[in-house]
Amino acid sequence: MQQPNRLRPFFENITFDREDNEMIVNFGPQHPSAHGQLRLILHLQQEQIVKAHPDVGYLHRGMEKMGENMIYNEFMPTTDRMDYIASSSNNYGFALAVEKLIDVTVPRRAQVIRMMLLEINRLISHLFWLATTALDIGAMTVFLYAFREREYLMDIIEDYCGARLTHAAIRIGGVPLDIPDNFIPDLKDFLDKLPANIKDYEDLLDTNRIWLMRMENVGIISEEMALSWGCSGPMLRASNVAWDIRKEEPYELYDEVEFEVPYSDKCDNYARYKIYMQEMRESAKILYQTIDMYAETVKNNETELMAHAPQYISAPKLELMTQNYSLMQHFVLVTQGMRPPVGEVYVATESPKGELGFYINSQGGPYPYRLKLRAPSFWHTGILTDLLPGHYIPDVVSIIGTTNIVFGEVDR
Amino acid sequence: MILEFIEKVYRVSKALGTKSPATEDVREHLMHKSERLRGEHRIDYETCIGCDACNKICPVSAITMKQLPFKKQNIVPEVNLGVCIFCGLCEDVCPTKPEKSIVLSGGRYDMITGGWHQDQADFWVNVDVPQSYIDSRLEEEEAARVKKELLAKKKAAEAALKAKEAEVADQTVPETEEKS
Ligand code: SF4
Ligand code: SF4
Repeated sequence: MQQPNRLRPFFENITFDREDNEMIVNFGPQHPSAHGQLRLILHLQQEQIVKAHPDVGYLHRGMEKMGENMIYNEFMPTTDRMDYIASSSNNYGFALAVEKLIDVTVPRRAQVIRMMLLEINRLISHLFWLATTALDIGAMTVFLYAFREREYLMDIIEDYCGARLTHAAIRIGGVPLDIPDNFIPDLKDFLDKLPANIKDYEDLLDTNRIWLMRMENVGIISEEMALSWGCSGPMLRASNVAWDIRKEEPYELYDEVEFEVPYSDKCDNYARYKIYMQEMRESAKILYQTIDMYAETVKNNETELMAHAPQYISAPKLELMTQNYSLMQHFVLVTQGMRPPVGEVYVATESPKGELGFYINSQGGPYPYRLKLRAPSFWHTGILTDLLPGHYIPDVVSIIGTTNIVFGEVDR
Repeated sequence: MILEFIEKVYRVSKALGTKSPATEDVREHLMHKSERLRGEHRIDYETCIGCDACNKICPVSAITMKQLPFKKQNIVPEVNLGVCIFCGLCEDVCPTKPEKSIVLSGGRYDMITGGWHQDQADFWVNVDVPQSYIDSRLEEEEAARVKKELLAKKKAAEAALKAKEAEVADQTVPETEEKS
C-alpha cells in the first residue's frame, strides 16, 4: 500500500509498483457530484475499485437527541431538514407516528390535502433526482428542463404553505391550512403538461449512447443483495421486488386510489432510472384522483382540517375564542406539550427515497423518551461498500447518482 | 413564403418590443409571489394578549418578550430574524381573533436582498409602542383602579351599614320580646 508520508512520483516509487500498487483516493466530502457531504474512501487498483468505504457524519446534527428535548409539535420544523428535497414527506411520517401513538383519526379533507402534498413532494424529489443525476453524467439539458418543472411545483407548494424548501406544511392531527383558490387549477395545468415533459426527458436520454453506456449493466444490485442491505423504495423495486408500502400497508387514503407499482428485473442503473420515470407518471395519476376526492369533500361540506382530540390537539380557532376552557387547554398544550400515553410505535411510510420510519417511545411525558429515525438513504449509502468494488472510477458517479441519497437524511 | 417571412418579422419585432424577464429586479418583483409566503413578522401590540405562547413554541428561541409598563398584557414579542427559521409555528399558535397578533405569512421578503440591513441589530423585528398608547393604557388602568377602589369603598360602606342595621336589629329584638 502507498505510504501517505512517503508520497513520491510513481516512477520513483519502485516499491509501490513492485509490491502492492493499491492507491487510496478520497472521493468527497466536497466533491460536486457526491450529493452533499459524502466522503468515499476508495482503494484503487489502477482505475478499478477494490475496496470502498463510505464515511458519513459530516452533516450530523443530532436530530434524534434534539427530538428528545422538544415537545412533539416543536419538532415538526426539524424534520424538514432531514430529506430537504421532499420535506413534507418527513413532516408526514412524524405526524403519522404521533397520531398512531395518541390514536386520533384525521378528517377526510385533511387526508386528501396531505396526499396531494405527498405526491407533489414525490414529483419534486424525482425531478430533482433526474436533474442532478443527468448533470453528473453530463446531460446539461435535462438538468435545466427538470429544474424548470420542479420550479412550477415549488411555486404550487409555496402557494399552499408559504415556503419552498422547508415546508412545515403538516401538523400532528391534520393540516394547518386549507388549499388556496388557485391551487387546483395550477396543479391541473402542470399535470396536463407533465406527460409531455416526461416524454421529453425520455427522448433525450433513453436512446442516448452516453447515457446507455454509463447506465446499462452498471451497478447491478441483485435481489438478494438488495434485501440483505435493507434497500427500499425505487432501489428495491429495480431489483425485482414489487414492494411499495403505499400498497402493502396503506396509510391515508392510498387504498382508495388506483396506481401501479412499477418494478424491473434488470437490477442496474438503467432499471432504476426507468422506475423513477414510471413513478412520476403514477404520482400524476394519484394526483388527478386526489383532485376529484377534494372536490367531493367540498361538495359534502367537510370543512374540518384538524382532528378532534381536546386532550392532545388544540381546538380550532373559532372555539378558542368562544370557550374559555378550550383556550386554557390550548395554552397548556403549547407551553407544556401534549402527553401521549405510555407506549411505543413504529410507523413506516413510503417517502420518495424509500422506507422512512419513525420510532417513538413515550413514557407519558411531553417529550419522547426515545426517537429513532429510519432514513432510507442511510441504508443506500451502506450498500456502496458492497456495490462499488469491481467498478471503475467514472461509474462511482453514476452509481451514487442512482442511489438517490440525500445527506440531510443519512446523517440526520 | 412571403407570409412566413412577414410572420417572422412580426414575431421578432414583437419580441424586441417586450421587456425581457431577465432584466427585472427580483428584489422588487418576484417571479412568483405567494400570499402566504412566510416573511418578516408583523406584530400587533394592540391585540396581543401577552400570553407568551409564541415564545414557548418557537423551536429556535428566536422570540424574546418585551416588557411594557402595564399590569396586564404587559409583554409583547420581538423576533430576531437572524435566528428565526420561518417555520410559522408562532403564527399557528397565536390565539387572538380575528387577526393573529403575530403574522408572518405575506410578510416582507427583502430582508436579505434589500440590502438595508447593515448589522445584526437590524435583523430584529422591534415593537415600537407609541407613548400615546402607553399613556392611554396607563390612564385606563388608573381609571379602572380608581373605579375599583370606589367600588370597594362603596361595598365596604354598604357592608358596614348592613352590619350596623343587623346590630340594631339584634338589640331591638330582645326588647320586643320583653314587651310581648
Ligand atoms: S417563525 Fe418559527 S422560528 Fe421564527 S419566530 Fe416564529 S416560531 Fe420562531
Ligand atoms: S401568541 Fe399572539 S397573543 Fe400570545 S404573546 Fe404571542 S403574539 Fe401575543
